[in-house]
Amino acid sequence: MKKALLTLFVAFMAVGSYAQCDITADICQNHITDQFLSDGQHYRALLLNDQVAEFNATLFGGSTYRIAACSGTQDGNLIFRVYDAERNLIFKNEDFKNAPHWDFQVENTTEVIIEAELDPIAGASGCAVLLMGFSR
Amino acid sequence: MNTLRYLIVSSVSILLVTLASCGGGGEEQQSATTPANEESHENGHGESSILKVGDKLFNVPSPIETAMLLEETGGNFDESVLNPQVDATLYSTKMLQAQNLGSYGSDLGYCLIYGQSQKAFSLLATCKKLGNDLGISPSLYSSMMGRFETNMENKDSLLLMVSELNRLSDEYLKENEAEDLSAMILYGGWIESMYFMTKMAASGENPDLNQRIGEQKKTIESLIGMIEHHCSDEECSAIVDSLKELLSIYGNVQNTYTWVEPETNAEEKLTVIKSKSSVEISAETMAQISEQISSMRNSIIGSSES
Repeated sequence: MKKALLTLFVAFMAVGSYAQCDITADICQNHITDQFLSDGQHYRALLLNDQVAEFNATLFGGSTYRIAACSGTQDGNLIFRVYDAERNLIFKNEDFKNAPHWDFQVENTTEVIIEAELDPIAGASGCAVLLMGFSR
Repeated sequence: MNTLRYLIVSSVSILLVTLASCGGGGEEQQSATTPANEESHENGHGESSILKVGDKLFNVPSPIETAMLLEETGGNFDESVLNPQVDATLYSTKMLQAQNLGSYGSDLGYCLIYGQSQKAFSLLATCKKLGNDLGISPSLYSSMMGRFETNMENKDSLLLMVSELNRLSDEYLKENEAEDLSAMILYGGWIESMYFMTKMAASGENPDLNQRIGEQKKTIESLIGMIEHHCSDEECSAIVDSLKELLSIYGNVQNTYTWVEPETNAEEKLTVIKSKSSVEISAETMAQISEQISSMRNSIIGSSES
């Protein structure tokens, strides 16, 4: 009986967590406005405490990119930083009140590393969603 | 079975989240919550650990963006570069269906950019068939077909719709623990758009295209990481081997990069990335890349003939 209850509880929590990712993604998508075309991908990671999600991207010269970074249901829960491949800091949204989205106009193709982590004020764990759009 | 897998994976994730949220544990807890196949390292941000998601979150350039570059560089629409296989029922395995969905998706973007909306509509029907075979929510494609038909003359709207369809399909597959299929779609789409570029660059008259082809090294690494992470069967291993061969050809591409301080405009929420970069690629290397891409594409579109 206990086992069944535990299973039910865990299943309930699991579905809740993934549902949270879906809700976050829907909210985040609002930041990719019609000036930008989605890159067609959906990036998400479950983050704990001060874990940092990282991914590499190539930003092509002549394009402008919008990066939207979200967690939970409110803007500003996710901190994100953009570095070049040599780890020179290009941008961090902490300097702009954890802005949930930012545009990057790229003069020459640049490899970047994007890091995202939860703002500790927003909670100790959660689903981080990153979306990218582009325009030329 | 998928539901069970979903529940198990999700449950473990939640248990880990719950345990971590309870505090304490420090280092021990951190290592316990880091999956075995993910590297963890100090990153200069205090004690933070990085989920080394070079093998977890991957970025592959949008085929639509590539098609835009082709149009900008003055290339004419060339129907002969499109995936010629139109009977999608011949793709018998999920992996091939996914690769070809990516391939047709690229063709669709290419046609849209060049204003070939009728051709694009027919490709969308093929995508719908393949998407349904892969279990992607049928309602996604059905609603898209209707909207597409009523916006045939509006290229910008069609592009927005198709890029959104791609994102929703990707989201749907990831929600349903089908990252392997998502990876195959991205792979198929990337190969197809590289095929367009290498064919158009063959004329040798367009340095912008050569540059863009030469800038794909990081994407190849991402594709290798993504496929290795989500799929380990023979078919995937063969794809990874082909990508590694391609990466080794890219060893002959010379890239230069110079850091320049970016400029940020807070009011416009805009940062201009001003760093300089360039690519040098010999004709011989370009020919090798083109040949390898053609061979990989044949494996995608030709394997349906059984």
